[in-house]
Amino acid sequence: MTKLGSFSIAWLLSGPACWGCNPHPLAPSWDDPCPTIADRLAQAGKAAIDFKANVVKMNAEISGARGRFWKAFPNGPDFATAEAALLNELWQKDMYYMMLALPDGITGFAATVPNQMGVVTGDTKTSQDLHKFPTNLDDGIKPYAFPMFVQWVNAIRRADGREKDGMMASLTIMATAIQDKSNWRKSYEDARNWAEFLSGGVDISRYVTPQVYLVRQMEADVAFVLGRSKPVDLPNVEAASIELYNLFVKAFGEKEVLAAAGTVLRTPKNSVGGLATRADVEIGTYISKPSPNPFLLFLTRVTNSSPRGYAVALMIDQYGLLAGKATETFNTKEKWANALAAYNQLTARFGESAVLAASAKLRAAPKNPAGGIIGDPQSKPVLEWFQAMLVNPKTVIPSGHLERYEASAFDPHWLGKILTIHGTVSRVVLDQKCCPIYAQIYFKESPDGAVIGFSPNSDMFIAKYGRNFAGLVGKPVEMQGEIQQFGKSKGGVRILDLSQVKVLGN
Amino acid sequence: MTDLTQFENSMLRATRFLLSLAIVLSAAWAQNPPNSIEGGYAGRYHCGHWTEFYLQIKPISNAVSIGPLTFDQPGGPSDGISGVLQFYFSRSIIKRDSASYSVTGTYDAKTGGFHLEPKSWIGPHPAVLEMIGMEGTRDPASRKLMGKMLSGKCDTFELFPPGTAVPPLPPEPPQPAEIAPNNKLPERRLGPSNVTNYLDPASFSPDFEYWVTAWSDRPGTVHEGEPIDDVVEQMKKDKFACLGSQRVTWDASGLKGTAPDKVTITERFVVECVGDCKNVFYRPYVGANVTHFGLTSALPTMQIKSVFLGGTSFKWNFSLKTKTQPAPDIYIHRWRPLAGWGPFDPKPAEVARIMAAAPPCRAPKNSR
Repeated sequence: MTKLGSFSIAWLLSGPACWGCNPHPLAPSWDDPCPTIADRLAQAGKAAIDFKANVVKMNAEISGARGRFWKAFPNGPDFATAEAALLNELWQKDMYYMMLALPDGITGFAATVPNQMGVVTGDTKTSQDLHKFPTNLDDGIKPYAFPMFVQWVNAIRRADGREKDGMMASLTIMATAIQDKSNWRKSYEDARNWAEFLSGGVDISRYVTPQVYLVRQMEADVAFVLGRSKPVDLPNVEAASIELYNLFVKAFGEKEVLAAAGTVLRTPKNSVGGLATRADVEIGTYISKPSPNPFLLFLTRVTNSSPRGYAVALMIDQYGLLAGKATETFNTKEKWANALAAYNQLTARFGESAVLAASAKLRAAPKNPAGGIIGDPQSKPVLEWFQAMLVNPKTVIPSGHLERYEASAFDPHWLGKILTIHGTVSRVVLDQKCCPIYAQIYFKESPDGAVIGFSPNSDMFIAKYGRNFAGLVGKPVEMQGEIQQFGKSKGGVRILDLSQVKVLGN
Repeated sequence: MTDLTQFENSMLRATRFLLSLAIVLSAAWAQNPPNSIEGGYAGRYHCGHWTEFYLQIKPISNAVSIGPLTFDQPGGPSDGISGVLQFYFSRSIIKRDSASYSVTGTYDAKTGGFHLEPKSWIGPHPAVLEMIGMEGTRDPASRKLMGKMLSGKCDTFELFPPGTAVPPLPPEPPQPAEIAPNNKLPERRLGPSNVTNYLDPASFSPDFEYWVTAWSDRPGTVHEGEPIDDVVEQMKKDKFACLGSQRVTWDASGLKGTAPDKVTITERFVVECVGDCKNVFYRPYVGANVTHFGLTSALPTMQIKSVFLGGTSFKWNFSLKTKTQPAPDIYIHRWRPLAGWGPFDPKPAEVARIMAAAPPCRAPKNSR
């Protein structure tokens, strides 16, 4: 294994320190003349080349150990030795990145030294690359484990009294990291090993049960939630993840949990363990863009697997789903425990059959991207409908079915209703005035522009259909939305989300 | 206009701006029935002096919450109201703070009368402060609340509804010049000042007068301890550790005193006087960069930065205008920073050990 110490020597060589030399060439002295700028650049360049050579060597060693491990996996005669060798290489890799991150933090200057050297060797291409955390050794810390690596680095630095990046750590901090036995380290190493397993290129469903898969997959996010309060040491993440799993079993049923976990386990993954094809996310009132996160797919499946699951999901803290806090909420045991408690309160108050009946109807109703029921003229949130149905079981919710009309047949009765309009796009015109810049979509069947589609979010149309809207013009489409009078049109379909536009025949 | 009134005005302006913002936001959120008392009100009450405060009132609901759902209970809304009263007070001439407590009571929408009793403190507060109830009426035309604070020390209050500007109070009488902050004297300025040149003997500047910040207090200023307690707390917060204290010795005349001292790199020196400390003057005789903290510190405090590698020894000179019996007992406490050395900064455990082992940096108890 290439020694990490060789990197330190390289850095010392590239440093600016120079003592005991004569800085004045025209004033003779016993001291040797100080190096010129050109000398210093040459020194730095040599150090960078040495540095790169060491990294190349380490990369080869890690790659070799990894290849040997997967060749022996899962029960080859060399398996135990190969596993130990790979773990040793991964430890060396961790310490390399620790050496960069500990002095003044993940975003500190020291962490960017390999990128600075990359300027000399040509590996750093852009100025943005210069300030990123380096990935020159083994393509960096694996994305799944990187948040845990950051938490581990920050925990060691906090114990050293350095609360913020940029504060220089004490000289002994690296020794502290090497000897560290905290749960911060364990949690990172578990995440690293899981990421290594996920990226091994094997069919993981052959080697782990749905339960093990789900618990392991949750660990990084659970650790992230537990680490928010910056405790001196992290609680046992594995135990916390198992507790969360058991709570899911209690809330949704074991059969449902295992079925959802199994589905996710068998869904094709990308090289880092994410979903190969992004999946829709609908967890109670939370509807977001398709995501590659396997845990969100699990929650989508399990919360929609039964009326009870859907009702529990509706009861989760709504504030916790705002402002990017959803992942945190979904990985917090207390949030799910509160949701389950609220579900039990509802059943005690209204009776389980009434709760399940209301939940079943809402679960089946097609939703719009805003989380409401398609076709609801009042655009009421699902929770409001849920409450209304519990108080009055005779409440009728919108069917989710929209009346469909041709763009050629405008009728003033359309105004104010949510409808589906069918036609062929003839052109798309952008507003000349700002702001917002509306996109107006004209139909071939309504040449005078009596019926159009319009959207204040013209950027999303440009992003999806191209600057000249080639992906839309000439295509038959269905547009769903509220009909409003807009500009010179008699009736325009108001479009706020691309899901309201369906290009037919694709 | 003196510096004090300028400073105070700016503080009041900032407070009023925040209160107005809160009121405007409340106005935006609240669309209440005409007789509703619900909302955020800004105003002041009078308990010997005017205190600015903010009151947020909401009706007590009979509704019950289950998870994110809220269900109405039979019986309809009650006449109960609850709220939070937040008031502002001074901790010193330069430091304002606020405290809050919850209130609960009743409101009669027909007569506009309301009564609120204090319930419990919200968050930390100085122990000397007390929660006070209030009783008054709501004027339906102006939506203003008026009445009295329920304490023998207090009388009236007035509160203005969202969207209404709080009229300014009549200006407070200026402080007497002998206690007011004084920009001409570094020790009585409202901010720190570099006194390196001031202390140059060639400048023939007068010695600093021993001045405790609390001597410039306005009425109603709240202190939670002795000035030395505030200083020690602030030093620890700034990660400074006590190195030791020097005691001033007086000559035979009893009018002049000295104390030897030393500065290694950058240290802070706090002068604490016990006894009759009026008309005490002091001056460090040191060739170094010196910053006087003025009224920002509860006791006279200076930061001295040595210009010599290895530090320098120097002398403190003290003098009295008139001889007192006994002479005041004066200590100079020396504090060193525990941060700012980069990789050589001690770790938290070491910081805690140094702090625990450090001398007290307070005058001995028998001296008080």
